Amino acid sequence: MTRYVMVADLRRCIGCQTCTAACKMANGTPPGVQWRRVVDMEMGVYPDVKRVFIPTGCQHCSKPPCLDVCPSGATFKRDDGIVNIDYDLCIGCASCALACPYGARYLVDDEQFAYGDKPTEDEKVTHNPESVGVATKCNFCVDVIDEGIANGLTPGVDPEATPRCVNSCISGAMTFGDIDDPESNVNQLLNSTKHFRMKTEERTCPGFYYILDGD
Amino acid sequence: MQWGASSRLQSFWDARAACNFIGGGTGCGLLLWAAIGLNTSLPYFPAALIGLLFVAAGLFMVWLEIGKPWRAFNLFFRPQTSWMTREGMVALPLFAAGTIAVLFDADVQLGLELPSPFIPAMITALLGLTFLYCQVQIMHSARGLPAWRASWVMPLLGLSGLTEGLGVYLLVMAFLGTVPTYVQMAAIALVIARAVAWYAYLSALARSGAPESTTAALSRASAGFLTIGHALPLLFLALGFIAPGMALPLAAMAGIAATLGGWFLKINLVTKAAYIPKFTIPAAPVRGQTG
Repeated sequence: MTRYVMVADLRRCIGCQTCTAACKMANGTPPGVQWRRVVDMEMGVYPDVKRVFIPTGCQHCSKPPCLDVCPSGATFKRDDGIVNIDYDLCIGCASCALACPYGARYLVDDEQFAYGDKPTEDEKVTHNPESVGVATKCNFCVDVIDEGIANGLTPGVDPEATPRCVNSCISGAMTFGDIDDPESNVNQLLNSTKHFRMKTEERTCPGFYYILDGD
Repeated sequence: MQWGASSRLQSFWDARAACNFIGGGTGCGLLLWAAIGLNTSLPYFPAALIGLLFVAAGLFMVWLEIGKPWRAFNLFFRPQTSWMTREGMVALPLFAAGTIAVLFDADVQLGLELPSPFIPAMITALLGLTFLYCQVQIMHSARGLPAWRASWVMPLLGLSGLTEGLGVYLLVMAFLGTVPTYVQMAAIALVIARAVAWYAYLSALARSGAPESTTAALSRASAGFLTIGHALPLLFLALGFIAPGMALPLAAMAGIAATLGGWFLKINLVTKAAYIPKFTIPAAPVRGQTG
């Protein structure tokens, strides 16, 4: 089996938001919608305070609560663990957005562009009218993954088969791969580090790992 | 502060969604009490008709809320797990049985001779309870929101629906000129039960580590909810027992207050208390060891 997951090394992330920009650029998401965003968090008590940057988005849970509540069947989970949305089925009820403990889903009722009513040249290419009025979220750049696999490439290893946020990360904080493959990049990384997953008490089994420390 | 580092109020569902819970709860509660009243020879169809209209209005409001209203039929596609699908599937027979029951009870006024409304009225009441249960589960299954996923939200909303329905029933019966003692006693019992459920809900929410903004919003709403939805109805009903000559208008006022209290609760629960918790991490990352 294959189970694609994302690993964010919080020791490396510098909060530059390049992943966010790359995602927005590729997917043409409207203002305020960040499928991949970086939370800028403050930890500790003054004067012993640290800034921590946490890349986040859809956690592609093994037990996604968004899937169970979806009345239309628009939200589905693929065999490789990627949770995706069929825009043609979604009715935009937002039940999924309310069920997601990670706040990873968005719903925009009107066409919105970065600068006024008209799309920019980039947005003319990337904007998807079908995404208006329905739930949207990170899909691990499933189009890139599928095309890469079709061309014999390995997601997480070959950039042409890897999510754009990972390719764009300037500090190498983001890693993508198949956790069911014992030899994969993500397994090697996770086996040699201390890591955690967000809100595991929700029993969602998220597919997004965060590295805090070495062995 | 940036979302994620702090909790965030959900903005997906607004007052229109709250109206669905209001219409569903009040309407289904009313259908139940109308059916119970039918067993004691009270008029059925005025209250039942209003109950069906409440449910229909609630569904219409949620239809206005969704992003793709002309695809609304798609909501029937996942009965295996979705309480919203189940709610929709129950709504269809609910309206069918309710319409039949209303027609059967209104046959004299319509100049017809139709069978007794007893069986369709009971079926309607049961379907109404099922519909209400689906609505409660819809809210409970919103796992991203501690204010909604709390286990006590189910008895609280269930009891509130029954109380709101009984509140409107008191109003309708007072208008028709008869409010039996058992209906008033039921109202007292339900109002007290809802207050108990409210305190249990608040207590469970505080123990669960809900966002401070959630508990603060509910604390702000608590005084209004308890005063409008509980203290006033109990006062009016008690005065009605003391002054039987004023019992009907006092019962009507008690009903209005009990109903408005429930609506106030739902508006607050949906639009003011539903915060998505912030992210937390177990420790700060140790920089400089990335290998």
